[in-house]
Amino acid sequence: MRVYKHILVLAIVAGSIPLSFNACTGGFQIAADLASSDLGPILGQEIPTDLPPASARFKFQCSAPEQVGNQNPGVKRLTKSELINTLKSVIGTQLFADSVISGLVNGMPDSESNKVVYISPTHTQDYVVTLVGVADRLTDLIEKDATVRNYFFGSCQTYNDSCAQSFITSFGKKVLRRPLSSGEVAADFSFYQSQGGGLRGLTSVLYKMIQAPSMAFHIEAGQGISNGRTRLTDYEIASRISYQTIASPPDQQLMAAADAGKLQDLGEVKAHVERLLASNSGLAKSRIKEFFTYYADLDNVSDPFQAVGDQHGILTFGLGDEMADEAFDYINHVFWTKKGDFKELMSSRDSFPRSENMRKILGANSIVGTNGAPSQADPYHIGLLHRPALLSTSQPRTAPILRGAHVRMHFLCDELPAAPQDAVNAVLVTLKDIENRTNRAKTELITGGAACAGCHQFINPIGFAFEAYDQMGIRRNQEVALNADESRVGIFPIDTRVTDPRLEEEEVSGRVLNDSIDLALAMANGSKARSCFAQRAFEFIQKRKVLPDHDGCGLAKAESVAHTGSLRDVIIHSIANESIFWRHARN
Amino acid sequence: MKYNPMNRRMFLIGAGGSFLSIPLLTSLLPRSVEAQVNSSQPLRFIMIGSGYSPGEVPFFGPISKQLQKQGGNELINQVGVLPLKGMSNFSYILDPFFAAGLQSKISILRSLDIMAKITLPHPQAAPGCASFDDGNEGWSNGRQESVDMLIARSIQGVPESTRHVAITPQFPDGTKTYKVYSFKYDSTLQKYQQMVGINDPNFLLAKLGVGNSQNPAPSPTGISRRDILTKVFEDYNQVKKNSRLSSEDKLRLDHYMSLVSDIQNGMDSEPQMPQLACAKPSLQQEIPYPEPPKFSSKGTSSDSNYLNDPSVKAEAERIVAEWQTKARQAQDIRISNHMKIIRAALMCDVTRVVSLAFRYDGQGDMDHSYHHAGAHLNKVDDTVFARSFYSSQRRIASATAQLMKSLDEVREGTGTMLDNSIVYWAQQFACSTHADPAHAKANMPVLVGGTAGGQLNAGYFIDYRTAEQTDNRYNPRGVPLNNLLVTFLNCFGIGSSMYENSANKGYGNYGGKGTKPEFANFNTTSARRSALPFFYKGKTIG
Repeated sequence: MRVYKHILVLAIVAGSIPLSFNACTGGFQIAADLASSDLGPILGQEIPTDLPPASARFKFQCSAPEQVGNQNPGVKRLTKSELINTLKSVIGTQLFADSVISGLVNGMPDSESNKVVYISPTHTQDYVVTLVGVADRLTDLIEKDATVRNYFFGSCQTYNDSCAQSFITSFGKKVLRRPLSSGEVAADFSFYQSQGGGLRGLTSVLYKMIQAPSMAFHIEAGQGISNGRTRLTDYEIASRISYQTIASPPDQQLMAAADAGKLQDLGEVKAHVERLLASNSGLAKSRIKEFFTYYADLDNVSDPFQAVGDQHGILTFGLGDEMADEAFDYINHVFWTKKGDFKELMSSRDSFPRSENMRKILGANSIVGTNGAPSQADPYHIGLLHRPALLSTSQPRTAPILRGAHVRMHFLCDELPAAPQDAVNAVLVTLKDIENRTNRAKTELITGGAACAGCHQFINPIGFAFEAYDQMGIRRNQEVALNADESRVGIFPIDTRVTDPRLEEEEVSGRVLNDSIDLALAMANGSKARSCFAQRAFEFIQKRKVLPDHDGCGLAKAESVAHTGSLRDVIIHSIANESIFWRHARN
Repeated sequence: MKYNPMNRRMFLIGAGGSFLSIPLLTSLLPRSVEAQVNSSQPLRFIMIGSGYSPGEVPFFGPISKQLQKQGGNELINQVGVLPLKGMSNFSYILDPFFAAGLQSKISILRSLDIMAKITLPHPQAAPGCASFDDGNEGWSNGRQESVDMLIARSIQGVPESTRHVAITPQFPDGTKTYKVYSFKYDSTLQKYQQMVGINDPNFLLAKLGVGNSQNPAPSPTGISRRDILTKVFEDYNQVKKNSRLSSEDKLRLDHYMSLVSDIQNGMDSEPQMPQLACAKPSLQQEIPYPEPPKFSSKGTSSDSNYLNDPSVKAEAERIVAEWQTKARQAQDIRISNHMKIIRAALMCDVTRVVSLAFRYDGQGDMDHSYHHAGAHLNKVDDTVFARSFYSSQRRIASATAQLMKSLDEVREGTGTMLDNSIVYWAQQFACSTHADPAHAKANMPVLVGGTAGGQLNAGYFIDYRTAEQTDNRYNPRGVPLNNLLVTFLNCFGIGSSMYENSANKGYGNYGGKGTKPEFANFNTTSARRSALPFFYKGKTIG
């Protein structure tokens, strides 16, 4: 039997690069005879996996431990959410709530929400405007409001020199996230004096510190070089732990650990990461939500096509937001409440419909009650891939290509080149009107040519497997195809059975999946999707693409944990690994 | 020690070595560019882009018009023209301009086609760059910045930090980012990035510092921002001295310092042009954006198929309409406040280029559904969707007309501020037709206000098609939208030597030129470099 080992090659040159294959080396097969009409009994069962040994399944290997962390930069800019949390820590949440300050910070244009690995390493002008504006406002409030003066300079009621020294030391530690050196204290005190001392001098120092380099950047000077890498100080490690875990400055316990010099130990680091994630705080939840927004591309769920809603008696107005909320409820439940693993993420029937419309879409047994406990979706809405937020579309017909490409790119971490437009245009011109046929037949016609098949053999099977879900994510047994003007194209039968889905790096040829339930369970029990989850976590935490030659050691443990531990464990190991101690030592 | 802004220039032109690699930027060209503009008054460029697109008739009015033939140029040999003078109405969407009495100040341009290839699923134009594809990292040209950025880079005498401003006057919605139709080269990523707009009016005011020099922020403690920023530079320099930081790390700090320097220079700079009545605008109190209604949240199943019950359906529509009214009230106040800030910023001469996008991502109403519903695209009928969609378009027209009117009330030299401006409104897609209902690329709806100091003809409907429309597939085609953008660049003295690159003559993407035979007419270098005939009456630049 033939076995594919396939690697998608990212090489976008002139918009068109074919995919390449490696030779057959072995693999596994799942049971292919599960009838989609009888899903209930199988949901509690394992799909036979017969996975190859771990060494063949794992994507990331630690081959050069002495190079761990040598790709980390020494200066990295704060993101908008990091700035918000840092300012809250530095000036206090009460002052941050001031309408001018919060308006300025929250109003700062945010270019990074869904571009985690494409964030520019440099700031925009708006960042400077924000920090100057915040400092201006604080200056104003200090002058006008005694409580604000008291908040910042409480111990300095007389604004004398010794109090100034004390303010510089304590406020400076908050801003720099480390103690100031004696030279830094002296320089700031000298500046205080140059501004005439007193309240004017103190306010000037405060204003200057709000503009400090550490308000705009994570600056890791490090403490020594080893094997071409720079070892970080305890305070720098404390910052990495905290910002990577909760996008916020180190708390008192982390600073105390740094003061005591305890953070050069991986066990200690891991304990703090676990503590911050275990706290189930708003910051941790917010950070994890950001990650899953990136992982599942959940930041813009459109309202479904209303004509499809009409078929089900559902007004689609605002439904996109409801679907996104349901997906996040589901993710939170698996991640935080159940402390679930990847398999649970991809296969649980728990669901969170908070309206009758969502209950109908999910086929759930009830709406979520006041206690927040999940309801059970029908057997066809299992796991993350079957959330309505991921299945729905605002288009008049479902799009197997988009669904297939979405799963392949987001959940299997394959990179697909842009479609060769000349070939697409030529096909469309040749085929003319092809609407009056099934989605599957239409897609196969469009993508069957040699120029398209290279990529679409990876995309189409996944998309076809999801054809049993309509434009709202409701299970269907026939396709009601619509035109853009809401008129009906026709009603067509559905075929979700696919061969050679190529879900793994090594896969037996002739593998058959009956539908997307099979597909989700295969991914839940397989390797590639787990590796991808670990990769996405690493990208999110490091804010950059993975460099396989350099990041293998940083990722290997997290990838391994993705096969054996909880989702939370994957996040923990994506942060708490040897890489956290190092950055590059380039000049 | 004061930071030397020259460092930024050196930084940009390549002192960063391999870390930076940027294309030709017009800001690095001689200042003579500015001198080429034949105007004693500053020229401004305001680019307005709105989401989706209308059908032809709601925008252009009845298809058949009695046009006067005017001579063309190498781009097209004849142009159809209709004076707007004396007209009291024109089309459902554009009537607000006529109601505002702007007939002699505007031009309505028809038959400007997007030249990009069809790129599924969203072939778009993007008003500023003639071709666009949001499924492939945006700018499908990939070789030039959008025209507003090129224009901004050519302008001298206005602080760099505020010379160009990107605005999206809408309320934030979850984690969405709100982008404008502007593309700027990011030298660190070495790619063209779509710019994100400011949507908070207070942030916009803070960024522009409008009227600050006339009404300085109170500083009773007497602190000196200049001294402080000087000290900030010292701190950065101290950090940079650390030998363990790499040149790449230091460049990031340098870049940030250059931004701070821009702010500092903004504080220092005296306006080069005499300022008009520069003052902080008086903004209307905003009202909170209402939460969209959620249906079927009663927890019962009795309302299944409720849309089949006319009374329930009517109630649902009433609730949506009520929410929409409140939402639009909130949006209109925000839009009005942004327009006031823009006007004030232009009068204070702190900015000269504005890129403003309405509803790029849509926001919580039915317009996206309607955008795909082709049945009613060419008429403003009584369906809920049509009312919602076209009233949105008309509101944008009203806001744009009000901005133009307010600029026209400002006397400047022998004309008005509007006369010395280009206010350019175009849309996310070209006009929808039954054959091409949602993501069309033929016939971009375009309206331009102002004359760029007399370089543009105003007061006309101008049609750039050589023959009457023969079917609903928009055949024959018009002329490239690219040439309109060349026209704008020419108005600012920017010729082909400054916007072209060696791989591509003309401005923007011409990748779709082979898909229709008539595009062959526009494949010569001189035609691609040509400004639009009749519309442009400035100096031929080439």
